[in-house]
Amino acid sequence: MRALGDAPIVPTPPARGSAPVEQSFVALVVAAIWCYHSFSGWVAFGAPAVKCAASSIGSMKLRYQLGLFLTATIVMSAVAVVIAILHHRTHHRQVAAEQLRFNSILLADELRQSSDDLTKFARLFVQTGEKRFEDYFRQVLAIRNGELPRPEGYEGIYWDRVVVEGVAKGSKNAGAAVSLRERMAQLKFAESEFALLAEAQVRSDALVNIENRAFNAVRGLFDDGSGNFVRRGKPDPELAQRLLYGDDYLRAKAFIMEPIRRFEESVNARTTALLTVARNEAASLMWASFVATGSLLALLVALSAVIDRRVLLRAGTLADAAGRIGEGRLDVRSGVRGNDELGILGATFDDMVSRLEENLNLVTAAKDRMEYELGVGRGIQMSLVPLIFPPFPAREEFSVYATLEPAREVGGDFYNFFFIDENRFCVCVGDVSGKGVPAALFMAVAMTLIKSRATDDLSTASILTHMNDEVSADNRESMFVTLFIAIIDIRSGEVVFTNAGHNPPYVRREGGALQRLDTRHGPVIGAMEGMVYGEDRMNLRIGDMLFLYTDGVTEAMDARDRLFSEERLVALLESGDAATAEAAVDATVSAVKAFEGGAEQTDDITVLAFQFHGVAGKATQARWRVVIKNRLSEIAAVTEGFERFADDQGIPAAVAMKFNIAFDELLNNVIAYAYRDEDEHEIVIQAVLSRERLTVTIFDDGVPFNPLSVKAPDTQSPLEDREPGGLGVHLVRGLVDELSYRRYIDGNALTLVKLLDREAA
Amino acid sequence: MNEWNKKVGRMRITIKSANDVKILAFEGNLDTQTSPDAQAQLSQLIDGGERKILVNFANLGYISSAGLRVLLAAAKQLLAAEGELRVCDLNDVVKEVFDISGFSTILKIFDNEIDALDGF
Repeated sequence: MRALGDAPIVPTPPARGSAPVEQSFVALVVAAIWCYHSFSGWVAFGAPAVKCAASSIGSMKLRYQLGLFLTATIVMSAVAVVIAILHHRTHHRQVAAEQLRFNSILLADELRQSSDDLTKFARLFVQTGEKRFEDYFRQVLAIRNGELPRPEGYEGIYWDRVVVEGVAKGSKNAGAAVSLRERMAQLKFAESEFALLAEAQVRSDALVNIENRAFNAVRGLFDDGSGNFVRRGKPDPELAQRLLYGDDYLRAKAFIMEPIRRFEESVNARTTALLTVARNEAASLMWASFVATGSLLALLVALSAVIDRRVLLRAGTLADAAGRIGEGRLDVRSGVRGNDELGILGATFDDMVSRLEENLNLVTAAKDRMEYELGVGRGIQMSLVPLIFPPFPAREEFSVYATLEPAREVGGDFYNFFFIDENRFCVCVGDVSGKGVPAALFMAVAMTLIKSRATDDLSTASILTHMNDEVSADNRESMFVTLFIAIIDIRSGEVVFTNAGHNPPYVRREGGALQRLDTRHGPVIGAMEGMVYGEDRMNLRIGDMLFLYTDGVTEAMDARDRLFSEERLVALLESGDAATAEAAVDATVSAVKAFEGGAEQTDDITVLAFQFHGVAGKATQARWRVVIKNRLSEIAAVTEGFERFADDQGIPAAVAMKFNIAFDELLNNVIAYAYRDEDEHEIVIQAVLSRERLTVTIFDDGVPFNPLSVKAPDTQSPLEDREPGGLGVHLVRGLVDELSYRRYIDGNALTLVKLLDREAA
Repeated sequence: MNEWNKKVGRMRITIKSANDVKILAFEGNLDTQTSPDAQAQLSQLIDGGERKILVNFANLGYISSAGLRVLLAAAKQLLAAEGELRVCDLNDVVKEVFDISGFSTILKIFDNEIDALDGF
């Protein structure tokens, strides 16, 4: 009756319910260890390996690199989360395994305890004959087999308290009536363990026989020989005690305890193994979590390195290059290269700067060409206008003086004057539209047309009408010229003039009164074919001056963009500073230059003045001429001859003396310096007295030498510092009213003019 | 005929003394032709120990830069020897030449001989 229970033995394998999780866990651990080893590999192989990996990554586009890092980070984070979950579950399994082990050991112990309790109650019953011990014996069996509910606190000292206190006080039958075997099955005891229990049950048969014989002996029942206790006799407690304390009983007891001991060992070993697996899993997962965290950290370091080296550093280089290029250094290149976005940007950027540089070179070259062409145009322009003054030193009837100050860019001014015949003199001033070579060529055409037409046409209206038709006929460039032209009869002072769209010129009457020639006789030349120009006539009296200019004078601007204006010009012309042609021109140009200050001249400045000195017919003109050899002793002949001429013409003695000083200075210069050979040369001195104007000219055939270019001496320095030399020309310049030099092909001409003021004297 | 006209081409220098002052009166024109003579006369006087020289231009027609150089040389020579050169009686042309050349400011010029000798 000492059975272990009738619950079926259900052999159950150890807890393997989490097999898929475990497999993925293993895979993760392997991956983590691989990562760890790769990482250690990098560290071990050092920089080359890192560099190799970095370069293979570095050749990728930046967004792919960043994407790669992001993906890796997400994967590693996911791994870390999975590891955390697994760790959590493993922890639970570990706790469960510990609980299972504890419960299993308790159950195994309960089995052994119950066996001892049975022996104890059997012996007590036999010795005392008290019925309750037999009841206890039955109860232990019933509880073990699940026929009675299991009292609370059944483990431990339950039966010890029952024996002492009689009925177990306060014990509640709270537990369910579950057999020990069933409870073992619930705790999933192994098949081999149930086999041990079965063996123990089998071995308990001998023990049960002895106990039955003992119990029956107490009641007075004995075996009839067939195994049934029906033979009645006198109760024999002594036999019962001998049975339960006898060697057979003890042997049977030991024999039954042997499988129970092995059962306990098996339970102990199994649950310990389960617990060890759970503990190992927890340790592995902790390592995996270290590896995952380390990998994340390494990824972040690598990512920041990529951002720093591949992005920030190169972006800085690019910004630096862009800054320097912005400062005008077009030879600077960023040098940033690569297959990624910044590398492409760097290459594109450098390419762009190269193109900029090329374009700038092209633009500079084009500008140089334009400058060159403008220079050529200016060259042509300046070669067209007469530049030598006085142009006709022998002509006493008039003086003419002109200046053209070319501007750097815009231009196209010109002037011209020439004799049409013995007594008719043509002057003109014009302003061609445009600049550079085309304007210069147009100017040349215009000047040629004027001169050729004027030779047999004394009407300025007719000249300009024909010229306009010629120019307009084939004027594809739509160029035009403003023009003022005048033909002057130098005997009478009569002037015929036409103004074709030009600034109205002025007539400066002797004494300074101004008359503006306002009439316009037609549009600019070249605008429209078939225009008929008009003309006007006027008379110049002695001392009157015709003053022509271009808009470069009145429209000259100062630094504050104010115009020089006609008012300033009028004030200047009215003043005594503009009394002679040369003075009027020089004063005007100087005033404009002074007005402009530092401002750049924007347009050509052209001024021409023609002053009428009156009819100097042969009858009213006194001339004197002498030719000498290049010897100092000849100078006396000049001074003596000139004194006689001066005496004859009533020239004041002081004037004559001044000319004699001039002869002394200038002829000495010529004889001393003009000849490079020892040959004999002729020097021609001529004097023309025309009314109040005494003009003396010295011609020599020596080497080119302009005495006026000699620097004036410092006449203010004290006596000790004074050096001789340079004084002669300075003296002459001070003694006469006009002094000019002209170089001819075969000689030099110095012209001295003195205005006599005999009437005033 | 003007007075100066007769003197063309030649020059005469008259020398007289007043106390320790030598007075040189020039007649004619002082130009390239005549200045060597004037130079010789002045040098002879200065070399002979004269330290106070008055040049009287009352009868001088004109003076050119050659004549100015002679005066400049004499003035410098006397200045170095702590002597002095004075000039008087300039006509208008000579005065103008002195003005243009700046000699008016470096030589002592007097209207006449009496003024020039005063305080010499």
